[in-house]
Amino acid sequence: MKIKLKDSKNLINPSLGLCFNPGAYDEELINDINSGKEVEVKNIPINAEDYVKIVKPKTKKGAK
Amino acid sequence: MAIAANAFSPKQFSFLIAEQDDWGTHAVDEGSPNNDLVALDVDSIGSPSLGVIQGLDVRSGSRVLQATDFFQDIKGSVKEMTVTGTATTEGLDILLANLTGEALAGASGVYSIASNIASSTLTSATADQTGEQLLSIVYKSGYGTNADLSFKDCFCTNLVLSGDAGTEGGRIKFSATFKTGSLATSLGDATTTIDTAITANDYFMSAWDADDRIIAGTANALLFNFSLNLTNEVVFSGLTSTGFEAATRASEISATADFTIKYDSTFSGLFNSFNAQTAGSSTGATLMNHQASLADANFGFKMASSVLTNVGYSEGDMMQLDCSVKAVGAGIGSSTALVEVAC
Repeated sequence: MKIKLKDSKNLINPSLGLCFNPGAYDEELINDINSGKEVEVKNIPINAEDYVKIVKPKTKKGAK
Repeated sequence: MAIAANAFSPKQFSFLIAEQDDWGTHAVDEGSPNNDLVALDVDSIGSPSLGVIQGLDVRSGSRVLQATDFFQDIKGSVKEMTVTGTATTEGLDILLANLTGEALAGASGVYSIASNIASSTLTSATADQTGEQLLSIVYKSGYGTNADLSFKDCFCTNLVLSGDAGTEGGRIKFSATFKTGSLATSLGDATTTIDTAITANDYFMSAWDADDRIIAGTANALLFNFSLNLTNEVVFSGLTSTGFEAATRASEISATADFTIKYDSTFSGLFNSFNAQTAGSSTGATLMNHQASLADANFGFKMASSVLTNVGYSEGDMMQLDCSVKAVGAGIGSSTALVEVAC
């Protein structure tokens, strides 16, 4: 799924070490999210639900 | 011989440790340089477990344990020592350097264990170490003459650092376990000199900042108490006339922490966080520190990645939560720290 920040003023504190993918903490990913990028992740930790939202896939005009 | 007209308070005894350069040579006998014997601020002196191996079985031919039946060996024994007390800078530096394997001089007060830490083996051929991963230990007796208990080739295998907001103002305490597979240097050693006496360089959990009190990714914990448990076991092999000739640290090296915190709106979701953890993934960082990064001369610890291993209510004057975390590595090839401890 793709996610992005809900609010550009409410950044994820890197010290929390929140982990959106299998494995350990990925600081680069948090930097990308905090910079406003949409990023592909495997899961959203409960602690991160206040910070990020899922980006819904854009549907083409006329598509059912 | 007349009876002795002396007696000693347990408080007249001291527990001393020193870094040791060469396998088989007690720190005070190493010549130049002799490493300082540092007094730990222990609550009680305790007693070493000598691990003496005895055979008290009655041999065939008699119903009685004859003197000739009695068997004893000390070469194949592992001596174990455990002490508890107050963590002060001078002693804690040595303990952390030994347990983490990070040289005291190179650590600059921040000791870390990498996710890809290798096993390590020291042998009877180990000499002039730069990292100084051996310890000498002395139980300094209150009686000043030939009564000190001295051990060489010791390893700190377990270190628990803890604090309680309701006890001594949250002063950081320690419990350390040491093991050696070598024969004791002497159990009737001459008077040992304390090179570094106990100092007042204490640490307090009150130094930690709210947003840097993080448990598995949730910040602003209000702590009642905590304990950090570091384990790095050692196994001895190769029996000789002076004890074992090799010591290997190869089993799991681990860091866990237990907390009792205030149950509040910030941490009410901890049950859910515990239950909803994703297999194969860290839940979040655990940090106890005065700022985001660890720094020399300030006690704190950090698990960059950790998982919750327990969450439960704890009923006190107000509702509390007991929670536990375990540090997880960043991958078998990663040099990212599993855990870091600063002092």
